[in-house]
Amino acid sequence: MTRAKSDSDSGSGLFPVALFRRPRRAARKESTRPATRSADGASVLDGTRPLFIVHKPHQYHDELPRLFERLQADVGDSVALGVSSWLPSGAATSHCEFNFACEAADVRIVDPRGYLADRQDLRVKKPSARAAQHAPYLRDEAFPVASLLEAQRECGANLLLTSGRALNPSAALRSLAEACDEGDEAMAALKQGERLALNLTMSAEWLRRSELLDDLLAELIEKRQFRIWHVRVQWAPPAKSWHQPVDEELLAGYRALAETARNEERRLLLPQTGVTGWLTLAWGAAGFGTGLFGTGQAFLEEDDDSGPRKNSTIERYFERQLLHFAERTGRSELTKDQEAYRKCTCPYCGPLLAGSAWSKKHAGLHYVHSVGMLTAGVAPAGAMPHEVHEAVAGTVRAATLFAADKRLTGQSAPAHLRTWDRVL
Amino acid sequence: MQQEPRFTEGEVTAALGGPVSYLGSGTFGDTWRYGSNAVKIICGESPPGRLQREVGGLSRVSSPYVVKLIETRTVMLRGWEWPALVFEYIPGDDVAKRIAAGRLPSVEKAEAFLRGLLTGVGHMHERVTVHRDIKPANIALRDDDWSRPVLLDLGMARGAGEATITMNGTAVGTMMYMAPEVLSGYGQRNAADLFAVGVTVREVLSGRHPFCDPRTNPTPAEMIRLIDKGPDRLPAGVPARVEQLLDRLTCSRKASRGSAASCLRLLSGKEVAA
Repeated sequence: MTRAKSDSDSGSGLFPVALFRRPRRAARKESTRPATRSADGASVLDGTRPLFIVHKPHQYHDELPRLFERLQADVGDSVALGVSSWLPSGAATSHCEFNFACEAADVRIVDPRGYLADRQDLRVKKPSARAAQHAPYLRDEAFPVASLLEAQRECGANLLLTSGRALNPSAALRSLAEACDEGDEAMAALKQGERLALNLTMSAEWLRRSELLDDLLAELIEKRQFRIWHVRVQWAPPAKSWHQPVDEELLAGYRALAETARNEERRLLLPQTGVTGWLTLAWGAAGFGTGLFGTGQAFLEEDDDSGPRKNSTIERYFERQLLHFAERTGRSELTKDQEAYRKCTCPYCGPLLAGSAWSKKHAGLHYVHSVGMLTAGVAPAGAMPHEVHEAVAGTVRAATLFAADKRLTGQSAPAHLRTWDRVL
Repeated sequence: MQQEPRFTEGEVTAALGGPVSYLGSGTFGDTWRYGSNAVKIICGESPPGRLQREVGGLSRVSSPYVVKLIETRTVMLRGWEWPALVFEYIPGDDVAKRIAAGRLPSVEKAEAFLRGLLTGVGHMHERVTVHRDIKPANIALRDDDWSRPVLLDLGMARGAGEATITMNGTAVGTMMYMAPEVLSGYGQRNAADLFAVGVTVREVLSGRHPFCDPRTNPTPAEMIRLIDKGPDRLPAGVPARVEQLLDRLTCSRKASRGSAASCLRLLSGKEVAA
């Protein structure tokens, strides 16, 4: 990227030495890199099955390896599994250890989150001193591409990303050209067998405004060297992580993006999109990401004053049949119809629903497991595009019917279903 | 297009050392048939670097749907050395002549023509080369076969990283075949070639320009408005997938046109999103 790129890719001194240390537990492995189900994680990006990415949470990430094993057992080969952690959130040893532990994940991403340096284009918090320590590029104007890739390798990533600097809507063409130039530089620095995704971060305006969307898509179509697009779109208020967007312009933008990717035989990955990401499988997205908690489920606007999410104490349970979170207090409205209600059989619901104490951890694990199952349900291996579309549309329609005679109010009401039914 | 050659047949015969026959003229030069080749003598006013661009474009691309460059040379005429390009000779008319004579293809042949053009454009784009002046006069029909179109005149072609060519500050190309984004100064990229393919094939199917009568000499702003209004309806009998593809190609939004490769998939009926 012109505004950020260094003339030299040596990057010496830009990453602390500790970043390159092998994790202690790695001694039991033959390789310094985590094992994968497939040789290099690449075959899962051939478009034959969707990639379900789980974002590493700050809390309870030790639970993820077991969650992946469980998902692997439950979804079989119909869904590829991925894990994504944030490069600025920890040292390389910690990332690598985590990635080693997530052996069941086919794809491992360690996202540089370069957009944290672009607070003029996105509403994001100022990077913490700790984040800047782990990712010094967030402080510096220069982004040495080769060093950025090496840092991801050392963290155990097997799908490498470009920096993910935010696109500037007021200088759209230049901004896109800079992102692609950075991608070209990264492609040139790849080692044999490595895969790179062009990592783009943008405000919702890019998908909502037709001229910006046209510029974005035209650039992506033309730059055929980038086979994988990792696109993160920041949702504006009143979006919430537990409420899917109902903005039809935004959804139309996602549709155009996903259809373009499918038509042009590219792989579109939509991190931090939760159940909305699942919806985009209908239009041709190759994968999406979600997480146990809010940050992994949606990429929302925030500012330096944002504290913990105000509603974090509300007990919400993801109802797969409803494609929505219902507040625990209102669940009886759903469960009373025992013929229509399908009880979840995941291993997390037992401890979650047994006692009176609410477990945020189990609620999060149940949610991720459920979305993984939803994904497997609509995109069996080798499904044709129209079959995936029909399956998603059928699931949305069934959810709409299921919700129709239930008195769900407030945040528990699945307001997105009607919109989704319409836009599908 | 200039209709008269700048030099006489006798002069060119003497310069090349064998019998020649006149094929046609463009803004930048005259083209003569010489044996099994076509020799284009660059003798008109030409923007700087044009010849190098044409040679560069042709040497990057190898396709049966793009004219083959055999060599570059100079030709001594009237005491001056003129640069010249030696091409394979494509026996057959160019498409502009066929349209002018009303010798239009059947719907099936037009579809094959579209497939050939998209293949040629796709080969160019794979080599990161944009033609930038696709129009009926720059397309020959090999052996008069509509399924074997050949893209000619890559004088405007541009590879990645090369500077944009403009003349008098305006976009280069032929306005009646220019994409709306080019008319509004966005620059000529792959999507603009696909727009020109769409306009050309519509013209071949109906015998008239799909957006306006070229004799009305619309301004760029008027042309953009006409394109936004949409093209004339296609004649009856055009298959739905061909119509759908031509609608995509002549759409105002550049991204809607996709790539040559995805257009070919759509044409072949492979499942893609609507």
